[in-house]
Amino acid sequence: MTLIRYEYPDSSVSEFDRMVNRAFSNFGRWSAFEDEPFSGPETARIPVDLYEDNDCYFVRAELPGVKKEDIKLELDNAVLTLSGERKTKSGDSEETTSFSRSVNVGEYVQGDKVKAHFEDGVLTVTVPKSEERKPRTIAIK
Amino acid sequence: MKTEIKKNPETIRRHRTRRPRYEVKPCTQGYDVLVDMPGVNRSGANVTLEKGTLTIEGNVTESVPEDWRSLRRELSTSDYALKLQLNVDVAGDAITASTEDGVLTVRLPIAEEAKPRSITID
Repeated sequence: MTLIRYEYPDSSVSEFDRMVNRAFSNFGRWSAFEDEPFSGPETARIPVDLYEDNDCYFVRAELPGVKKEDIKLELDNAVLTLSGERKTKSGDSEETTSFSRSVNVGEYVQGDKVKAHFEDGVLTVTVPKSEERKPRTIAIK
Repeated sequence: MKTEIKKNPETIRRHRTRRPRYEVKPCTQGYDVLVDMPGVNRSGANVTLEKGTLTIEGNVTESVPEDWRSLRRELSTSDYALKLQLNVDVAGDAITASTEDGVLTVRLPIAEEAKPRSITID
């Protein structure tokens, strides 16, 4: 059985963005670096959506076939990293495909109130903004 | 092969569909077609078999907050459409489909008359 590698539709992302993203993914996480010294080209960089409303930032990723318990989320200062692996059974053997992606969500977030929801293969991470970053209406006296 | 495009109002409205990644695996009864359709739940998936063409459609249910602003968009929000020409006889009544974690699995059992049979020599 042949494994068809998923071609991620990231043509909209420039090579420069990719470099920036890679630089950020290694920045400030040397402790994690020791745990996974070989997270090289085998790890697929997944596309994400980043959007916001007045209270929160939202990061969304498509992870079909990935089990909830195989997803790892990490918020290190301003960088949110989603990583994990997809396990596919083919007969008796099991194939795993790793993925990882880091997104800069900014420093003004409430790191302890991050929520994640996984439904129908779509992961949505909700990162609440810190109070000083929320838009506020100023009453005119 | 000449394909006939039916003028379905639904397809005109959503003219931009994407072809999902899929994989076909043999199983004991026939074949399993595994289609990656993240964002499609059970009610949004539609599987039809007509004259040897298996059509799989998935409508993406998107839930975003009301006053959201996009900061970076890399994912497509269009619906899925996949047409597969089957070259084996499939027992149409026995097709089953299930969804789990954004993967639709369609089980296509091979029709009795198309199964290989051993012939005893007199």
